[in-house]
Amino acid sequence: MRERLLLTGNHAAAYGAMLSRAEVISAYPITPQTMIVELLSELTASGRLDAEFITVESEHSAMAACVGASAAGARAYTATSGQGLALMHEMLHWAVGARLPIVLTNVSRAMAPGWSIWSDQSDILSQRDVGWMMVFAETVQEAQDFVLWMYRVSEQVYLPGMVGMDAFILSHTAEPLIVHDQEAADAYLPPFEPIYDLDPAEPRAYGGLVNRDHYFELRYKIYESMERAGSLLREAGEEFGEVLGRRYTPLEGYLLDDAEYVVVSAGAMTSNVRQAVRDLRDRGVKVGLLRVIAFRPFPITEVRSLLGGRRKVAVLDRNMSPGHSGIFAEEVRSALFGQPDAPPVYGYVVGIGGRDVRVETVVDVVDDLTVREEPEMALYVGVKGLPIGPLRRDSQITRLQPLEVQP
Amino acid sequence: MSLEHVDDYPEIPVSLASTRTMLKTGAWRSVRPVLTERTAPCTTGCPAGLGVPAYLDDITAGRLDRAFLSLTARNPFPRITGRVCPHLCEDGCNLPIRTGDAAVSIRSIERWLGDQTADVAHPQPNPPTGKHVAVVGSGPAGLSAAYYLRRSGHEVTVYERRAEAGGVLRYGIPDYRLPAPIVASEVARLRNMGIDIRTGVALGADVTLADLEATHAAVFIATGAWQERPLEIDGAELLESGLAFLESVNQGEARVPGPHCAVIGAGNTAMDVARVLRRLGADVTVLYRRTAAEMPAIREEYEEALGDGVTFEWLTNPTAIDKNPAGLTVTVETMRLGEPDESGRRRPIPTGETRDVRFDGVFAATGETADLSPFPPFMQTRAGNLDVRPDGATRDPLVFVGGDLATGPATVIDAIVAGRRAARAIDHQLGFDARWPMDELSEPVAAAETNPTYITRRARTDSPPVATVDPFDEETRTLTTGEVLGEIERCMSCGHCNACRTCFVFCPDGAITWDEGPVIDHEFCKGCGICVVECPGHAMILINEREVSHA
Amino acid sequence: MIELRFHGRGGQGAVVASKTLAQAAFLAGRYVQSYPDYGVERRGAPVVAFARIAEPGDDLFVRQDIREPHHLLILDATLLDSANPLVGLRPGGWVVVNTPETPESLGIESTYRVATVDASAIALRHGLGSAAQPVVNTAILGAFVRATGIVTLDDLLDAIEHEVPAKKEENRVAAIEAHDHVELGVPV
Repeated sequence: MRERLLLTGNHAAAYGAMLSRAEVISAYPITPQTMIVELLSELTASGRLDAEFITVESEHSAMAACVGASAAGARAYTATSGQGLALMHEMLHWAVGARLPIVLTNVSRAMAPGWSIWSDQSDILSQRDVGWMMVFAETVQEAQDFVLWMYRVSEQVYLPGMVGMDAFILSHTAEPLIVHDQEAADAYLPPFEPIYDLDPAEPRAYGGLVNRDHYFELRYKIYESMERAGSLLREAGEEFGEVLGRRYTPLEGYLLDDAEYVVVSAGAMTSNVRQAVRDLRDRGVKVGLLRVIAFRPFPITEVRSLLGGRRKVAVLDRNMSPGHSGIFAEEVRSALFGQPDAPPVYGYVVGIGGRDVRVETVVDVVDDLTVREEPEMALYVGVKGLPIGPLRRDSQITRLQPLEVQP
Repeated sequence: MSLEHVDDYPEIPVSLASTRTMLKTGAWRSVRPVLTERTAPCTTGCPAGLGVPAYLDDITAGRLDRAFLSLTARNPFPRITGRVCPHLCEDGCNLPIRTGDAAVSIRSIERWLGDQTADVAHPQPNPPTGKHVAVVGSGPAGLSAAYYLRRSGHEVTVYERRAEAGGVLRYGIPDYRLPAPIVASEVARLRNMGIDIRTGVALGADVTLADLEATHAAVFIATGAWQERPLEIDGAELLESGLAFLESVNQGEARVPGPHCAVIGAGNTAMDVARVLRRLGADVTVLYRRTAAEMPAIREEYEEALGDGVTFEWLTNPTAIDKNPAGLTVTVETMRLGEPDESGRRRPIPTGETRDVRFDGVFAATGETADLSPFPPFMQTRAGNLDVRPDGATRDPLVFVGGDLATGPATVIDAIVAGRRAARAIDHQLGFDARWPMDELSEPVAAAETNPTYITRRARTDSPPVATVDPFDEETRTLTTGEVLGEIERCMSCGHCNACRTCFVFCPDGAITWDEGPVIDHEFCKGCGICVVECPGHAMILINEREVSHA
Repeated sequence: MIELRFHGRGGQGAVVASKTLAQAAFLAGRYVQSYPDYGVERRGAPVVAFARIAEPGDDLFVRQDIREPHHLLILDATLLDSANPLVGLRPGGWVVVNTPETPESLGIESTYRVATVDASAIALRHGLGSAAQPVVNTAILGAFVRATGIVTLDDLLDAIEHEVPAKKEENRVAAIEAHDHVELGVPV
């Protein structure tokens, strides 16, 4: 029965796994993801979710357990965050190479040190090239629904899928959530029927040596499958609307039609961008929002068509690739490169380590965008003592001063 | 499968895309492992050349009929040799060399197998050949020859001078070592094969060699060595014959001259005489002119005599015996050891010191000789021995001989082999293929080739002594089935695959599959040789691929 | 849209209070959001939580700390001295404080409306928490509902049923008692 409940993003993710009828869950708790693990543990213990919950000693093992379960033909789910996702890294590659449709929710938190539990997308974006599909949720509803969406596509292309959810501003925020009717969810996501599973009656070696004669072809098929996932994401997003009443797309535009300026954003801070766009429109600024939902596969064609011909584009990055720019900015620039109508792309790095990205922050960014002449790879917003601007070129490493001891 | 196009590929690097099919590692091989049947050192140690590991394997696998058949192809009497054989097989065992553990107790296992198969009938003989062969003497050589001749299809009649068949088995070896009923049942089993055994017929007295030659296609004579070698000392007539004593005891007519007895000599007969006397209640002293190191008795029998409480006087040579009212006085001279003689043993040299010792009875057991009186002179050498070829043939083409008659006192298994060898020669002489195994054994598996890592290491289990009420009841018991299976687990099975699966477990390429035994998939075996190294008994060997391709 | 800020100390239940109040409004058909300022959540450490309640028919978009709340709930009066909770409170907003003192005695500037309730005493009377650490969240919500009328007491009691993991009846009674005994300061 369809229900409307007041739940946090974390609990919504757990409901997403439950509605997906995950059969094996293996996870290691880490702030701010812990509530997902707690609720799934309760749901399996109470029998509401008929799944095997495998406790492990690390995230590496959690993903290894999911790899084993998925290889055996089970629908496997896990969730992690920050350092935990980094520890999983090797097994993330394994899931791809073994073509296992595992779904993972990552509650994005800043990487240590300095030790931080707060919102920052550097953790998930560090996994950009492992070959997982990645989508970024903005709302509690999406934190639940994207788990189903990912499974739907994953099990068609045999590639794992990751749902990104920002720490606290989504993971710990309680909002109304529509928990879909299980039968409807089942209609959307049929049982997983793997093309290969571990069958003792038909023994095979998995993940064996592949020499130079063969590796490229196996990878080529992964690249092809990831490309195909782009159109399948769109189809599965449409089907979601038909079956479960909410339509999802790889990109979302807001007030774009006549927009001269476009702010590109991903994840939960986009809510504030949307409010800022409204506020700026009230001021007469012709600004719109382009939300990146699917990051892998990256919707290159749509990005070109939605941004082509605009006056300026600001890309908000709650992450940074040191030595380059924010990663979304990099992706957008790369998608637009060489297009005749490509707008200049201004990268804005905001909210690192959970610093509040407020509606006013976005307004400040757009104000800067409208007046700044040269596009910059990365403009830093809200660094104490500094105006919005690029990195300084003259700063020096300073020696650590002795602590002052109170007499 | 062909992987020429990307579309030929599976999604996952599953078997299809792994070394199993991507890399036919068999192409890497320059040598290949081959499962062979090699000779074990226990087999070469056995005078009969018994393939011990193979029948041990059959026992473990529960194939007792097959074990019995393979054993009786070389030795028809496992119940008997399982009790009295000096088990030279065990002396060859690689286990002590490789590990320091005691040898596998093969004789005890053989005894168990013999007892387990006591009621199994011997195989049906071959179709009748129309030839009739006489066998004279029903000791181990005669019975063995009769068995193999009969299985070959010949009509066989055995002539035995005594009341019962068995020869030394029945009349020489005491009951506590080899119970008479066991000999009787083996004789009965031979009769069931159609062998005609006539007792109370003595060669020379009741029937002559000429008579036999006239009525038979061939004659095999194995009448043993039953004449006590005379001691040339003063009062030798006062000595009793050890052999005669044993014969009387085995007929239930034991007579002990008194509480203090002496036995002169230290061969196996001397040991039997001494032990029987002990069992009949006498104090027994063995008088021997050399020392324990030179004594001809099998070590085991010496130790058993010691265990029975027999006293040994070394370097003690009787020079005279005198009778007095209190019994017999034996004058003995103390000897010392000199240089080795032609037998390799140190020669006893008189010292001139003498003393007198008093006994109630003194038994001579210094060696036995054969009675050659039935043989015409042309069959003998100038020295007065029979002229015998290794296969038992004599100067008379119809006559073959074997056993102690031909060799002088030897072991039961030697006699059994002589019987089999003669049967083969007679078969051949009569125009048939040589049907009984007499193959040259190949070089045995060396201890250094074996790998004891995966066998069960535990103490040796031998047929243990049992407490008996009657001192002539059998002194040891047959192992239990559990004990036998446990003992077999100690065996490395040199040169014989006993399906231990070690190769299957260790093959790093999964190139060995199992179908009763290892099956090597040469498409994937890359010749690493791990199976060969790990095989406990080295039944696998590596051969060069060129030997295969150029074969 | 109404924005609320909750100030408490770790263990008093400020985060559950924000969720419970949001739940009450949600049950009344409003779009809501509840969000803790997640920090050093140790017993006794200052804790801040937020709630947003949309106007009927509206929904919410923003995800940021509430800097200019319409009303405040202070679960521990000592925070008035140390944590400066009144920062950003909009004029005319209610400050609902857990204290045995009267609204007037707190010395809060007169642009705000003040309500006081001895939520600690009420909680302890109903076995909620310990003398050192009374769990006052449901009591102070009862007082808040009475002062602001943003949700009804019945909606609050339903929300307590949904959100409070243990001693539901005691919590309901505590909320009712605080609702009935809150002292509402007279606007100057």
